[in-house]
Amino acid sequence: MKAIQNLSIRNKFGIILFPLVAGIIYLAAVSINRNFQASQDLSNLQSAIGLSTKISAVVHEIQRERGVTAGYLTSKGELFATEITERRKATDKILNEYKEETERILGTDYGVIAEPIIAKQNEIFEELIDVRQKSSVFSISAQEQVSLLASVNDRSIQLIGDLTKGTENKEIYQQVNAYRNYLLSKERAGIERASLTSAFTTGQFSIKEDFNRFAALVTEQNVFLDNFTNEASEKTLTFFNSALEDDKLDKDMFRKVSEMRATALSEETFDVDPNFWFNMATGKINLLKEVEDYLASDIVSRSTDLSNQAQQNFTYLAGSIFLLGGLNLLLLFSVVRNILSNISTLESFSVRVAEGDFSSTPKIKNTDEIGRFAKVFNGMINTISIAQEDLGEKIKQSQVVFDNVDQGIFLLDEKFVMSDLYSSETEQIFNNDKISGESFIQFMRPRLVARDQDALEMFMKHLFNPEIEEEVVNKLNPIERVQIFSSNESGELSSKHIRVGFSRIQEGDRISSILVTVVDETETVLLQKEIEEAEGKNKQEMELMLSILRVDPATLEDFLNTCRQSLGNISSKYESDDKRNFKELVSFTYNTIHNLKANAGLIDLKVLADKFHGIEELLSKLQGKELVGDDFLRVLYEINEVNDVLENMQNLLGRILSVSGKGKGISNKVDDGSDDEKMIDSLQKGTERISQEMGKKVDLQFTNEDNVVIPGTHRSDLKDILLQLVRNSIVHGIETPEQRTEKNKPESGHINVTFNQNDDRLSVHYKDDGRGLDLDKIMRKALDENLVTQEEVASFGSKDIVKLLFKDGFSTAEEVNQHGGRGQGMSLVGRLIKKFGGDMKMNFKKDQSFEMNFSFPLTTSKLKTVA
Amino acid sequence: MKLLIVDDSSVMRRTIEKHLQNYDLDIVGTAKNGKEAIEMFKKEMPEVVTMDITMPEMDGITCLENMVAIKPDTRIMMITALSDKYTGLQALDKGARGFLYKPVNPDDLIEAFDKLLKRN
Repeated sequence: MKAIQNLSIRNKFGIILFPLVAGIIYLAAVSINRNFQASQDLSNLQSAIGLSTKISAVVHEIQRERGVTAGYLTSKGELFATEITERRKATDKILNEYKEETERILGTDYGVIAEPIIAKQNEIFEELIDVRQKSSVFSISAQEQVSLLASVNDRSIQLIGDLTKGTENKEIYQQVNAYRNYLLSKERAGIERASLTSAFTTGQFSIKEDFNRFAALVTEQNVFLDNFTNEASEKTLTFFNSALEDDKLDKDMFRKVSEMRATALSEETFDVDPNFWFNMATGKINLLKEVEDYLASDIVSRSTDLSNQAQQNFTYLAGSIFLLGGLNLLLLFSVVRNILSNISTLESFSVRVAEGDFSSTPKIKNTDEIGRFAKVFNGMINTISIAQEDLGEKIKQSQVVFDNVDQGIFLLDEKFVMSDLYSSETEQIFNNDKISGESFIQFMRPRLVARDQDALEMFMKHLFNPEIEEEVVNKLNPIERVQIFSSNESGELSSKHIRVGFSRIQEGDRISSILVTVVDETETVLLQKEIEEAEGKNKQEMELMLSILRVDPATLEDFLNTCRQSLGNISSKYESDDKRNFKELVSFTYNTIHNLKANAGLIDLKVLADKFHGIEELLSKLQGKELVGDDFLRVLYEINEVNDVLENMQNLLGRILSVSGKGKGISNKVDDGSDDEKMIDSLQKGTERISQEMGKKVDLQFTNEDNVVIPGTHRSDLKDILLQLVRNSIVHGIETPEQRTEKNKPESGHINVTFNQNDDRLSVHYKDDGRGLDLDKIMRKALDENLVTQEEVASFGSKDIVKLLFKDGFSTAEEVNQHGGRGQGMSLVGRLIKKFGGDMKMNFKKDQSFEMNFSFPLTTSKLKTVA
Repeated sequence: MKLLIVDDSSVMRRTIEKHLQNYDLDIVGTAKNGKEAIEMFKKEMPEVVTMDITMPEMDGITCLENMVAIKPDTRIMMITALSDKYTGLQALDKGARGFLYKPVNPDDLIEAFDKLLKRN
C-alpha cells in the first residue's frame, strides 16, 4: 500500500482511471456489440422471412399447378390442356421472383447463413422440372405426381422453418411457426382438392390405400390448422376468423368443402360434381391464400419493425455511448491535466523557495483547494522574504557593534561551548584561532600553565551553580588577571597579559549562559613592570648613594670589584667544567654567593643582599635535585642580571666620586693600618646590625697589642671568617638579654677578638660568652639533614659531633634568613683557614663560652680569590 | 541561627566576633584548629561557620569537608589570607558557600553574611 501511496499523482490517477476507463469501454463495447448482434439478427430474420414468403408463394403456385396437372393426367390430356400451360407459366413467374430474391440475399451478409438452405431449396424446386416432363409424356400417374409435388412442397415449407430457426426473437419465431403450420395445413388442403377431384371424377376411391391416404391427409390438415390457431398472434387469428366469417356470409365455401369431404370419408361411392368440388376447393384455397398473404405480410412487417427498431436502438446506444463517453473522458482528462499541471507548478515553486529563491510566485488561477493553497503559499513567501530582509539588517547592525568593540566578548552555554557570535577583538586577542563551537576549557588549556588549567576547570563548574553567589565565585576567578602563552608558526613563544571577567546570564531562575569579557592588558602590565624596574633601579642607586655616604669609597669599590670577580669565576667555572661535576659547581656557586651576600649585608646594600639571597634560594632548590645543564642556566641568568646591577653601581659610584672629588687614586691601595681599621669598623657595624635584628645586645671588642697588620691578601678572607663567627655567636650562641639575666650574666653579650703575631704566623683568638655549643642539637640536626646515619653517630664522641659543624649543609637555625640557617657558615670558616694553610682549635663551655683559635703563616703567597 | 568561628589566630577570632556582635547570629563558640572545630561542631550543630584555611592539626579544607559530611546544609564562609585561587576553588568544591579575603572590614563581612544567608 505504501508503494502505491508514494507514486506521483499522475501515476495515481493513471492507476485509478485506467482500469476504470478500460472497464467502461469494455462494457460499452459489449453492450454495443450485443445490440449490434440483435440488430443484425433481426435484419437477417427480415431477410429470412422475405425469402420464406417467396418460397411459400412458389409452393402455392405448385399447388395450383399440381391440381391442374392431376386433372390433366387423370383425363388423359382431354381436360386442362391449356390450363396446364398457363399454370406452368404462372409457377415459373413466381419461381423467378424467388430466384431474384435469392440472388439478392446471396449478395448480402445474410447470404452466407442462408446459402446452404437456398441451395437445398433450389434442389427441391428442380424436381419440379422432372415431374413436369413426366407429366407431359404421361409417364407418371396423377397420384404419383401429386405425391411428388406434395413432397416438394412439404420440404419447402419445412425449409422455411430452417431459415428462421436461428433467430432469438421468440415472438417472430412463434409467428413463423404458426405460419409454417398454416402453410402445411393449406398444402394438405391443396392435396385434398386434387385427391377428391380425382375421386369424385371416378365416383370412388380407386384403391383402399387412396382412402387411407386421404383420411390421414384430412387429419393432418386439421392438426396443422390447430397448431396454427394455437400459435398465431391475436391479430392474425382475428383476421383468419373474420375471413371465415366473411366466407360464411358469402359463398360458404369452407362448409361446402367440409360437407363434400365428409361424403368422401363416409361413403363408398359418391355422386359429387368434381367441377363443383374443384371450384369450391379452389375458392377455399384462395381464401386460405389471402390469409396466408396477410400472415406473411404481418410477419414481414413485424420483423421489419423489429429490425428497424433494433437498428435504431443500436444507433442511439452507440451514438450516446460515444458521445457521453467521449465527453466524459474529455472532461476527465482535462480536469486531471489541470490538477496535475497545478501541482507541478506548485512543486517547482516550492523547490525554488526551499533553495532560497523568493523572486517569483506561482500563478494558479482557479479557486479550488490547490488554487487557495497557492494563494496562501504566496502570502507565506512574501512574509518570509520580508522577515529575511529584516533579519539581515539586524545581523549587520550587531556585527558592526561587535567588530568595533575593543574587548573580547562571547557567550558560554552550560557545556562551556563558545558562541557563534563574538566580537572581532576576541580573534585578535587569541590570535585568530577557531572560536565558535569550541569548548572554552579546551580552548584555554594550551594557553595557560598547569595549575591555572585545573583551577579554571573547577571555577567554571561553580559559575553555573546557583547555590553560590556570583560575587563569591568571581572572587576565585583564577584567570582574573593571567598571562597567556602562544607560539606562532616558527615556534616562537609569545605571551600576553589578559583580564577575563565572567557574568551570569539568567533566564528566570536558571543560569542559562555566561557572558565572558576579555581585555588585553599586555601594554599596561609591561609598562607597570618597566616602572617597577625603574623604581627598583632608583632604589638601588639611592641605596648606593647612601652607602657611599656611609662607607668609604675604597671599601665600596673593593667590594664591587670582588663581587664582579667572584661572579666571573662562577661563569668560567661553569664553562670549563665537563658538566659532570654539577654538584660541585652548585656548591661552589652557593658558597660564593653566600659570602657576597654577607658582605653586601655588612655595608648595608640591602637591595644587592636581597638579590644574592634570591640566587641562594634558587641554588638551594637545585641542591636536592638531579641536575641537568639547563637548570643552571637560570642561575647564570640571574648572575648576569646582578652583574649588570653591579656595573651600574660602579658607574654611578665613579660619577659621584668624580663630582665630589673623593676617592682619587682609589686603585692605589696603600697597605696601611687604616685598612685594618676599616675592617674592624665594618665588623663593628655588622655586629650592631645583626644584634639589633636578633633582638640581642652584643659588644664586640678587638685587641691588637702586637699591632699586627693584616696582609691585604688575607684581609677580606679574614673578615669573612670573623664575620661568620660573629654571626654564629649572635644568632646561636649569645642569649637574649632576658635569658642572660636569668643566667646571672650581664645583659650584653661579649665577643673578644685578639690578634697576635708569633714569628711569621698570625694568630687570631675569638671568644664569646654565650651558651656554647649544643651537642645534642648538632647531632639531631646532622641526622635530620642526612649528613650522617644513626649507626655512624652511635659511635661519635663530642669531637666528632663538633666536626659535624664544619660539614657542608649544616645549620641549626630554624629559619632561613639573611643571617643564618643556610648551613654554610662554619664550613666556610674551615675552608678559608685551610686555604691559608692555617690550623684551628675550638673550645666551648656549656652556657658559658665559645672559643676558637686559629693561626696561619703570613707569607704572601699568591692566593686565589675566594673559591 | 548558631555560628561557629574557626581561625588559628586569636586576634582574627576576636575581630570577627566583634564585627558580628550586633548581627542576628548566635555565636556558640570559637575554635583554633580543625580538630577542635569538629568537636565543637558536633556538640553545637551550628547552621553557620566561618573557616580559615591555613591552620595546624587540621586545615580548613579538610575540616570543611568533615562538617559538610555531618550536616550537609551547613553554610560555611571561608575567611582566609591565602591568595591561591586553586585552594579557594577547592573549598567551593567541597561545599563552602561563601568566601572572603583577609583582612576583613566590618561592612564587607556583614554584606557577605547577608548574601550567604540570603537576607536582604
